[in-house]
Amino acid sequence: MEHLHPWFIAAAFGVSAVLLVADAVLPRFKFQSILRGILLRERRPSNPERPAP
Amino acid sequence: MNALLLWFHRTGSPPHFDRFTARWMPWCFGLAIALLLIGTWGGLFMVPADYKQGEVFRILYIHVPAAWSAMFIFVAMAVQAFIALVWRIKACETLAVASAPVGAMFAAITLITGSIWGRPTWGTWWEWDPRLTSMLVMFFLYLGVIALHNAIEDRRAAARAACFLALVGVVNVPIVHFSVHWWNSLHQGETIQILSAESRMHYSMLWPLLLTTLATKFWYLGSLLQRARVLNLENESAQPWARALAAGSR
Repeated sequence: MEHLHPWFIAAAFGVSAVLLVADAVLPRFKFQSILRGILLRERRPSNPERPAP
Repeated sequence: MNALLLWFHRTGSPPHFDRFTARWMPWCFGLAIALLLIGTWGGLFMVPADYKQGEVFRILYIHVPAAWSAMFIFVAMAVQAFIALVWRIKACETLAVASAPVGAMFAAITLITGSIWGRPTWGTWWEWDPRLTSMLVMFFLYLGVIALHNAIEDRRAAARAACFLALVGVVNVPIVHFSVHWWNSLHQGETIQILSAESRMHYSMLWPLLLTTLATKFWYLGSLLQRARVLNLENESAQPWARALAAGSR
């Protein structure tokens, strides 16, 4: 079993790295999508908050 | 009004909160990544192998800090939830709800890396041991807080329900911590006692663990600020400051 130890270590650190990256990146995407949602709502012609041209 | 209270109220207002999180989040992530890289490098390449476990003991340099952080975040989330429920401070509601996914992520890392360590050391991927089971319960409690927050349509009611579950669930933290003392456990006991600052680990093997532990705390802060910023924008998306922010991001 000892010859497999480096693979176990690589798996543990690899999985942790993937989860940490997902934790850092996914909220960033959500933030960008909320900003895009706000912009789309602003551009909609029926938007009552939109200033008159 | 004293300066601290004034700062607290000002930072709690949504536009200020957004600027505050945007300013401090990169610093927290930057520090966390730097400490994590140095600590991991030390743990993998500079520290000698354990005389009993061999090379596989190096997994503890990510497993132990993740476990400590999972417990720490649950306590922090419960404190934020308590403040949110008692004093009805909206920013604390946001912080408590934003803590749950970060805690769940650290609990998942703890369970997965523990399982990977368990296979060569104990000869099994999983055992219904008190420490492992109570950590799994903690992971499910984190998922419960996230699910409850997403299940209720009224945002304030959802946040309050999630805060209540966080407050009740904190009972599990001492169970996780003391499980190795209260029951006959396969999991090893404490090597490092935080309260008495004692360690049975030699300093030559301890320093990377201290760095990765500090790194996970900064990671929590960075991720908390980032997630709180998302929730803040989501709740305030109709406000002029949010529309100005969206217009500025084009």
